[in-house]
Amino acid sequence: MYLPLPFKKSFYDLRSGHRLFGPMGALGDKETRSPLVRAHGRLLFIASWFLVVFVVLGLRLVDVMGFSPMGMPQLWGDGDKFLENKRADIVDRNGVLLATNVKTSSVYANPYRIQNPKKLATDLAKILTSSSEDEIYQKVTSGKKFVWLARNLSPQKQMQIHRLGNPALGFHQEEKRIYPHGKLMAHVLGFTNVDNKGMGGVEHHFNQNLTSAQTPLQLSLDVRLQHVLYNELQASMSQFDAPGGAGILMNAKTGEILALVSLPDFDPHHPQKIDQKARFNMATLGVYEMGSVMKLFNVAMALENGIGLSKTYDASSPIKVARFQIKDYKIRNENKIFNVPEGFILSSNICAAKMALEVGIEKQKEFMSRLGLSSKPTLELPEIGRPLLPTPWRQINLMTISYGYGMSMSPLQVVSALASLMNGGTFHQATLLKKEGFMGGKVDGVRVLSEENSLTVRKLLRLVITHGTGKKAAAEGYLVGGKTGSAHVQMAGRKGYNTKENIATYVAAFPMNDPECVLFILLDRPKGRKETYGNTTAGWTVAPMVSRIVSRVAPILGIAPVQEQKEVFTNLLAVPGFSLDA
Amino acid sequence: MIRLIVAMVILILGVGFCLFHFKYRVVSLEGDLRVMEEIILEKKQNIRLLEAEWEHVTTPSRIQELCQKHLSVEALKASSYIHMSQIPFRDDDHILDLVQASLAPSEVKSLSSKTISMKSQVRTSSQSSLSFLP
Repeated sequence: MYLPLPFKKSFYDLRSGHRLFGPMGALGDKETRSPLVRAHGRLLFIASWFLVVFVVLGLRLVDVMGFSPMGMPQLWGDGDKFLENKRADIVDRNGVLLATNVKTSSVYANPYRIQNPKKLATDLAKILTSSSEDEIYQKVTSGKKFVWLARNLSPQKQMQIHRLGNPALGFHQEEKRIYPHGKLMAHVLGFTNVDNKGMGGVEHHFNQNLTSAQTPLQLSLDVRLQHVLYNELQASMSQFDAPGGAGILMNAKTGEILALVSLPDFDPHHPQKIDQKARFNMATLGVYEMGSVMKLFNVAMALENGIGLSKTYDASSPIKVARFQIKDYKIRNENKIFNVPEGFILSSNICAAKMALEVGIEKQKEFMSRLGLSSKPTLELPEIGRPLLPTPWRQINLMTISYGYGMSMSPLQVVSALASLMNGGTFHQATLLKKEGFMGGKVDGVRVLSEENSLTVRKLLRLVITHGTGKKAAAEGYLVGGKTGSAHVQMAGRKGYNTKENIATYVAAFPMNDPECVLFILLDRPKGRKETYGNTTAGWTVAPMVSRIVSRVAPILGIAPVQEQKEVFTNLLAVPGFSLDA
Repeated sequence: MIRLIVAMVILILGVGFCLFHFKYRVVSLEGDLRVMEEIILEKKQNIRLLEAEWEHVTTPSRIQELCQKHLSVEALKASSYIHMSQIPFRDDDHILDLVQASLAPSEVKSLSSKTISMKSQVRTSSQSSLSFLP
């Protein structure tokens, strides 16, 4: 602080007490004060300014130290090296990992900084087997400032490239969706695009949940059961040179899907290579005329509408409706007067049609609707097919539907309806999410059939295995019940049927004393083989597969084998009015 | 007044030093924490990768292939299963009685205490191993 002295005054004047500023002092004193007093005052003035400045500095210090955020030191250079998981895992019912995200590296180059592009291209081509030397050379001499050389490298390849020590190369950390089981559950899981967005299957259906939550999504599938179904279906497709196949294994008591396979399928790691045929989910999106499998629903409908098992039908001559003729397929029986169980196990079209005629169109419509066969089903997948129904629903449709023609539905619908017939008559919506109370638990549903009729249908299904067309599906000890179905393939433009090709289907349930699981298998246009004597029907092509599947699946599910000939089972599953020696 | 100012200055300096010291201590600890968090995250990523790899190498199709190649095992048939009640369990008490009967009376006396304890052990272990049965 500097206080200028008045002009022409010396410090002598200050010391001698001369007035410096005339009548008033420099500090405004009216009285003349000694220089020491005045100096004291000035010092105080200066000190108070210092104090103010220190206080301000102190406050600023507190502010800086206490309240200002300080940037964290950049420890790893690359800010996104450690990425949090951006998409939740998917696990099966036992917690086995089905889909997860892993950190991968992608390598890029700045061509401006490359000194010897030829050598770099040669070195990289040895590591990056997916690109040729020429391709890499073209990229690194493109004149751009940034070029991707390879995406999603393995840690080994990243290390090898890193060891090249070329400053023009850099790595970018990314996340990649990995499906450890590969194709096994491709149609259920779907896949994601490069931005990690779900593009099919549960990845698409639960896209929002998977991106917002970090807890794994638990499905009802069991990877072991899925493998069995996949393995057997693939083997049968190969054996019978079938272009496609589908299978669903469902918990009959809860509606949980334990395994779902549709072939051909795709590798979810390479979505750009998926063709339309492989992407088509035959199990949930495809709708088919189910053939004789529908007789099961027809007989259940008849039982619900008061038709007894002892009722007989004359199947000796075909039914003629307009220009159509309904006849039976290869039934050798001289008598040809069948009661309900006989007509069912011999798979008589005439009996089925006559039963349906007795029930009527409205009741058939109502029953199909009750079993969810005439409306689009729900499942946690975007690929869901809508059934094809006859419009108008005439008498000819009433009859053809009874034995599986004129109405197309998806395997998903059939398996859900079958489960409701097997479990005592309760319909559960099919689901891909794990429910509590598996194997013996109770889950709410809608009653569609009486318990008594459910038991009768089970007995009839068992009869098909022991005495009917589905004998080859028997699996020792597991009391399998099932029904074959072989429908001719409809020609393009609805110009009739190709009688040389068929879609072979099979519905099964086990164990029939208290069904735990239901199974649906479809084989698309199987070819006859020497071992099948040229036959392509489900009894020859699909039934043996069902037997193998049940034998492999039941131990995994903890279903204990039983002695099938034991009285307790034969009595329980005996059909009244039907002689076992018939 | 001067004392007050000096005291104030010393106080401010002291507080400033403390603040400085604690602040940088906290910054240092936060740095350590961040390093730890990054290490944890890296380990988690590695675990995730290992889990995916484990699932890949233990996928059922591969296990089946390896079993068929290296092991001569087949799937169990239904006839391979029997009920627990059909398993002829060893009657340990009866075996111990037979052993006792075959020995001389003096040996039996020396063994009796051991036998009793063995019997009780056998009983306890058989009970515990079968306790899961319905």
